[in-house]
Amino acid sequence: MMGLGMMIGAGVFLGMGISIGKAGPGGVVLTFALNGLLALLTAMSFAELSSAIPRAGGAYNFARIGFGRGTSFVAGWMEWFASSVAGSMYALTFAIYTVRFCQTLGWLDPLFASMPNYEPEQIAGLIEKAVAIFTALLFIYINYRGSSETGKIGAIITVGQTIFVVTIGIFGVVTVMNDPSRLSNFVPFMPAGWLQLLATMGFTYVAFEGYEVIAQAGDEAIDPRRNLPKAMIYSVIIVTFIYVLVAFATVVSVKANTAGVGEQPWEWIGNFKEKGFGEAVAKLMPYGNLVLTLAVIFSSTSALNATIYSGTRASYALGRDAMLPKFFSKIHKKNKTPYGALLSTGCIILFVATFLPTADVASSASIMFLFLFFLVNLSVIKIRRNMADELEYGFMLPFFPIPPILAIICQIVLAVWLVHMSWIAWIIAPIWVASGIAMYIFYAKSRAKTSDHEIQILYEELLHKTDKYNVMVAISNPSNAARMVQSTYRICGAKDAQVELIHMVPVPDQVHLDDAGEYLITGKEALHEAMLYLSIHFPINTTIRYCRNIARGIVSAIKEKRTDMLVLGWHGKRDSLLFNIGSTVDPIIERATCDVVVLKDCGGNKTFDNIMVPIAGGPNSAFAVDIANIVSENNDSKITLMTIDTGRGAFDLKEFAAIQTQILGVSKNRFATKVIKARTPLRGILKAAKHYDLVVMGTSNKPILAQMARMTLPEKVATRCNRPVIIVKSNQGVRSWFNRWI
Amino acid sequence: MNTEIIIGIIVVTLSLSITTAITVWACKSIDRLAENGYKTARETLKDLSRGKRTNQ
Repeated sequence: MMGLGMMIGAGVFLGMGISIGKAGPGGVVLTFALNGLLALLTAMSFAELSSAIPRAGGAYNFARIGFGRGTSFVAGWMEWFASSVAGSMYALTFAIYTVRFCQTLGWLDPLFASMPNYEPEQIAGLIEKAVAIFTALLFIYINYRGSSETGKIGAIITVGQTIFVVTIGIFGVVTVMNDPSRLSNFVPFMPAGWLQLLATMGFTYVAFEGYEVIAQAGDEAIDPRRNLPKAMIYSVIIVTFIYVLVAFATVVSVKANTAGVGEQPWEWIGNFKEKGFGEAVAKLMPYGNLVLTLAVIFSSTSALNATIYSGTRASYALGRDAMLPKFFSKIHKKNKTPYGALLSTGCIILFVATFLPTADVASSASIMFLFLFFLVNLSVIKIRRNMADELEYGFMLPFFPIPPILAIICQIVLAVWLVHMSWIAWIIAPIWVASGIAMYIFYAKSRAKTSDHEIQILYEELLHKTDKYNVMVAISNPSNAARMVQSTYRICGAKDAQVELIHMVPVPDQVHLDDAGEYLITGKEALHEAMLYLSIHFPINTTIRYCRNIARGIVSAIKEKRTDMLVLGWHGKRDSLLFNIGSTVDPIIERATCDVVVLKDCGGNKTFDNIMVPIAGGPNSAFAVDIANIVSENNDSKITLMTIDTGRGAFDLKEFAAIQTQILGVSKNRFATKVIKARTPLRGILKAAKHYDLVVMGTSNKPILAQMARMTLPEKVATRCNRPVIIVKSNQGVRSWFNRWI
Repeated sequence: MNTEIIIGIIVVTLSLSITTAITVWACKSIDRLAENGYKTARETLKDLSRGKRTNQ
């Protein structure tokens, strides 16, 4: 109900007449059908995010969780403007159709007669602006007082407006059944060409906004993970069918060559621009003007109230988080309403309604919602990638990440093409976004409050700051520290590295950020243990950080410290039947922006005189050889590069070994090569590994979805092999960046 | 009937059909996830993968 109530409104009442004039009779039907499909793609992104984070409440918080404070500020800033401009559009729609109704009844004739120097349309235009401003002020006051519709009244209004609009559609179908010659109104089908669709789709996109408001109802919904996604998706499909039906009815509403209709019906309707839909409905059905006016009153006032509320809420949220001045977070003592945010939102609504032509208002609203939903589609990709192990989903996008990527591409195309409908929108929107970015950089960034989602530094000791190769060693506890230092020592020595010891403290959701300090003691002990061994030889910095999720905390630290290599340990047991190498290590390997070395069972003063490196020619093979060379006991240790021949031909090891010998600058007989025949690579490796001290393998570079669903070969080896194993992943620049996203 | 009209009818029918199909699938998927208990993305994908392998 909430979604339907927000969506059926000015977008179709204003957009129908203008679209039919621009795109023709076929184009207007196609516009709404295709826009419905595009809206569904973004609705599914909203649905996934709302099901995973039911209390987040909208684009602002989704962007915050996905990208952090900066992007969330821009999202909130855009949401504020988009809602406010949409409010102006609803106020203008109400005014236009109310004044038109009064005109058709002749109530304005005395006024026109008293001002003979002005055209009736000019006078009507001024009255429309006045009515729009008055209506907006009225609803701003209602929001200030805090009165709002109850759930029941809201539902009745939504049902009422839906019935009116569907009635119009049904009349269209009945008209055609009684008079099939009306179908000739569809000729010519696309008089302005197919490209015009892009302009009308962008312009009418605002008709499909409204379902995102459902995301804000998470706190009040029953079983929100199930019901919020369903509500969003149902809203879009219902509205799509209604709009297509109404577009059809609009085209067939006017009989060609009747009195007062000189040109083709679609041209006649289009000439009335934003009032075209009203003229069409008046011709279509008895009491059409009355039916339409009632539909407009219901839908526009309800939507105006909701958008004032949305815009206020968006700016209040920014003010509450100290990213806008305190004025925005002020609450009226008696009314308990955020009057500061409300006043600012009201100013935008009134300014836009007063000074901008109606079509430009609609275009501005459309383009801002296109930008905003573009950000949400990016957020759904980022959050799924970063928090796949943390969040529980009630709905997941199919063929991820194709739907949000498709939506992003379409939204960019529509936004760009909107310049053909309104160049003013393409001036206002970038200025608003740029001002938001500037606002963040010069004001909000230094003032924003930290939230529970953020990673906190509990303890940091930066003793050294050099330009050396930076190796980060993740220590989980004192015993783990002791096991890792031997191999870490060799690696750091070979790279002449500066060492960053890091301990992440995972604090459960129930524990407040302020209490995370209790976990400091364990962390300090763990770091101290590692420092005992390493600090004699290498410059060391230490950090203890609190986080909700260890993997995310480590990846964040890697980016912040510009780490070149991460070394971490793994106990070798699967966390559950479902996880691969470990619920913490998997995401780190996937998302780390540096080389990663995972040590399994490499501690306890083990010596590695005989090392096996399975090679299949993948991008991590060279790095695996490099690490094997580093951790070997000495230059006389045997390193065997091995490939498995399953009957389909083996990888050319000799050439690979020659290249690696040259790159690493080692002696020619440093690497032995061996080809083993086996039915499967896994069998061959596990059987051969019994004769070696250590196995070093590169991790898989399969697409992430494949990795999430199945264990890869390196992971199977690491789990089943009873020898020490090192798994490595090299950072390959752009390719790694692409893999991290896709 | 000219070509544009035929293409237009096909496109409208196709887009409404795809919209309907996606909606039906989505609602079934939502109900299935709710019945099986909400899980993380990784767990859900593994369940799906395991389900596919069992059917094969």
